Amino acid sequence: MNININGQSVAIVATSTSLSLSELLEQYNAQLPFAVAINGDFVAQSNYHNIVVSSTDMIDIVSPIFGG
Amino acid sequence: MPHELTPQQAIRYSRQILLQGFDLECQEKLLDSRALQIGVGGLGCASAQYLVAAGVGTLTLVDDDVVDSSNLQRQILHSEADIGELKITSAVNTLKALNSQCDISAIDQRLSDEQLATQLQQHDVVIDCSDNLATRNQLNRLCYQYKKPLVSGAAIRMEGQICSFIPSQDTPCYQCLSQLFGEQQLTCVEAGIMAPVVGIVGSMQALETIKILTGFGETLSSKLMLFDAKYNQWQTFTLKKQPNCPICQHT
Ligand SMILES: [Zn+2]
Repeated sequence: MNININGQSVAIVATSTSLSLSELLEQYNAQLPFAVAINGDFVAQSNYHNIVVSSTDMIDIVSPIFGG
Repeated sequence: MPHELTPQQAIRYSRQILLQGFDLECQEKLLDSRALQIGVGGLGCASAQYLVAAGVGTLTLVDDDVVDSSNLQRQILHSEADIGELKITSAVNTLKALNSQCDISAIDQRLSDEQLATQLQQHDVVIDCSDNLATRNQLNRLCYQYKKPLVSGAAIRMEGQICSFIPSQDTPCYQCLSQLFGEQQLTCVEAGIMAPVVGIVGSMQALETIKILTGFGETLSSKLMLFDAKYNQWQTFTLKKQPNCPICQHT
């Protein structure tokens, strides 16, 4: 299925009937460190594996910024 | 005892006073407020110049760094003649020329917890223009403890972020944000920074600070604003209190 990640439509393969966020991040090859927001809400890392992602979700993968 | 504007001040700040809902009252509040700003680098130069021009009453700057020629590309309070001098010296000189009525002071060292606590109790708001996670976490921890609003800004490459933390039962703190990125977040990559990006983020911090001090408009509490300068995008995210936050979940 196609999922909107950082404003771009990305083809992601769901290996089972539902796609978890951690599965998506692995396929997208997201480089640590990052935080994830689904539809504008940040989610805790400990929830990545039990959050189910659908094709209508907007995923944002955000890098930390500390510079001044 | 509220500060009453002199006729000269009413003229000087007339363009803000003209703003519907800001009026004389908010300008007076601003003139009565005390802001503590950590850092006079890229973000700090932009933030401080707008706070001082806009009429904040008291501004205290904290920075132990000296001006380097590579700073001049974006740190607009320092000039060529200031290379090798303390950043706070050139910052205070430039700011005083901008507004002699603003009470500006500066501290040329990194503050211990105890020193920071003393400063916090003498100020109404803290502006985080620092460039490292250790300082950001220290400011957050003490601002939460002393219930002081914290205006956080950060920038790198072509990206910026702005967020305000106003301590309360329901609002998140800076660590609720930083812990979303996990443990391994100390990247030492010299990534570069585009000059106006720090100017934009620092200006947003000044705007947030004015809003918090005067109650005018809506602040970015519980929100994170991200600026993508490369592709011209602003995004606002919702930030919640993290159930396991070591800072704000003790109460
Ligand atoms: Zn927290």
